[in-house]
Amino acid sequence: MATREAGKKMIMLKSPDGMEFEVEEAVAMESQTIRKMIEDDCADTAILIPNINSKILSRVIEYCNKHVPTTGATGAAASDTVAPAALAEDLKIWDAEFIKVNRATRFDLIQAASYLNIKGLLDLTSQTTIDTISDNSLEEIRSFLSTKNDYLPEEEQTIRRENQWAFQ
Amino acid sequence: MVDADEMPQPIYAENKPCAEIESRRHSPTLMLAVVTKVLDDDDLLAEILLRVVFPTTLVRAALVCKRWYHHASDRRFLRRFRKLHPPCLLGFYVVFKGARFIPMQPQPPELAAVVRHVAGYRFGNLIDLKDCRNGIVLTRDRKQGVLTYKVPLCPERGMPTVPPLPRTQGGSIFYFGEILSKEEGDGLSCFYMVVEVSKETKEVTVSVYMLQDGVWCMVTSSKNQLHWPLPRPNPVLVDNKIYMGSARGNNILVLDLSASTFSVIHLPQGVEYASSEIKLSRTDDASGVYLIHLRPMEFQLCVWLHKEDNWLLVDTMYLHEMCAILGKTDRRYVHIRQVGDNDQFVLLQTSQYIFYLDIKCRTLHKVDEMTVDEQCYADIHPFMMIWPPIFPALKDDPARNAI
Repeated sequence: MATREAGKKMIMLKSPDGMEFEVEEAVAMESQTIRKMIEDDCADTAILIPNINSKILSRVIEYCNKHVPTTGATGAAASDTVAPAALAEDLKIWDAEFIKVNRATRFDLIQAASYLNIKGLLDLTSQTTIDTISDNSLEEIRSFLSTKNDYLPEEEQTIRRENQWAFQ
Repeated sequence: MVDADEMPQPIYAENKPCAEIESRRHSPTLMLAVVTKVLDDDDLLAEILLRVVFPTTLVRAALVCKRWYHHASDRRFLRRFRKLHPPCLLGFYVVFKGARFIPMQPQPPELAAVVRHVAGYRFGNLIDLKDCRNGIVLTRDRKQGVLTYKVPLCPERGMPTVPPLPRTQGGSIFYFGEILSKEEGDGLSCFYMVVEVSKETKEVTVSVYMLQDGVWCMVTSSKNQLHWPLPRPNPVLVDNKIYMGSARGNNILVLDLSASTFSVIHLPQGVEYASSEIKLSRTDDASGVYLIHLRPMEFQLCVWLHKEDNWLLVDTMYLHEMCAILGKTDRRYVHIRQVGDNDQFVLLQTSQYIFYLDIKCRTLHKVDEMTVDEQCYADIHPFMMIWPPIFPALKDDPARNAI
């Protein structure tokens, strides 16, 4: 759980299962949805985040904590010593570890990223799903989704013929 | 196996209040419920499909089922996709007697097969490439002058026939002509710009034709005594304006196709045609035009953007690395051979070597060594990934067919 630091505005995020998370406002504002609430003055002392359980919310906060741009004294110190490219590389490695979760968690994270409008997290979580699409045959994807092939054979053939470059 | 990414062990368990839940294995039913909850949501599915990066993956994803197809083939979706993932450079053609394809390496695995396929395609001998955009090539055979569309990545695709180019008007001398194209709707619009000079009055006429249903239709024919295009004006078509080098002063001549009027943009301060190489590059959002300015002796390359009547210096680079790559200490002359759309890349030539300069990443690579003949006479044409995919209307789909 986040600890209070002097001079930083904190806000409370509540999950529907009753957990409360105290986070820096800047961290919470990584979410465009929360940012809008704060800017529109809709945020009171605590913001209830519907549909996102505490397990997922805690991971989302963890992501935002890591990705919030550093500002002020600590930020200046960091950027003096660490090159931006190295920081970006560090974040990439961190992201790769962060997303090593089971599929259910990943899809929960996609939903949370979409609802909270956190572009970076949506990119990251979607990417692994896309890898599934890229790396597997159509039949495997369909069985993974329990989806039936509802194309007529000639329809599928036409699409393949018109775009044969995609199937080489 | 789809499930290969299963990771029961939490990575940051020590930091998380509810980490123990993560280590619990989900039952297949629960897992499916979570997955379908996301993928049955049209907005989320579109967001995921938007991130597939490669058109190859998008087309394959579209074949999963018709619902996915509808998302992938939606016009608004395709516009967003195109903006996020502009077609990438697969390689380039060096055209002398035939067209020699030089693949850009390395390519991501998703495009490796595509590049191999282009490399295996043959145009035949004695052809010129008149236009090359989004994987579609307009060729002209040197004997008959016949223009033909070719799609190296999809040779079976039916393409419109191209009639012979309009003839020079009586009493005029042909000065310059060029094929221009732009993306429009599901495909390309093709234009022909021709500059003629009246034998009698010496008046310059710039005419532009558009290819419509197999016929060259005149869009504009504008006379102008004040402004002549340069002998090789390197025109670019952005939205409904053609930008080209002006022979008078250090200016860019702009022909507005819808208003049939000329206007002039002064080159940025300190930039002039003499002792420089200048090429224009289209902006993807049609908001203006890039100018790539090379000082060949100084090996200095500047990128300018013209937007809302102002020039903005976007980038300055020095190309001394070229000499280092060639292992030669003597300075040579460097030319700009081609520029990519939207300031993506520049193909440079020094002696017989072609260099690829990625402007965004600021990297420079030697990509080809030409023969002596090619060095003097060859044309160079970048070849980009095919876009957009063809999504035919499905038979039993009245909703889509009605659109």
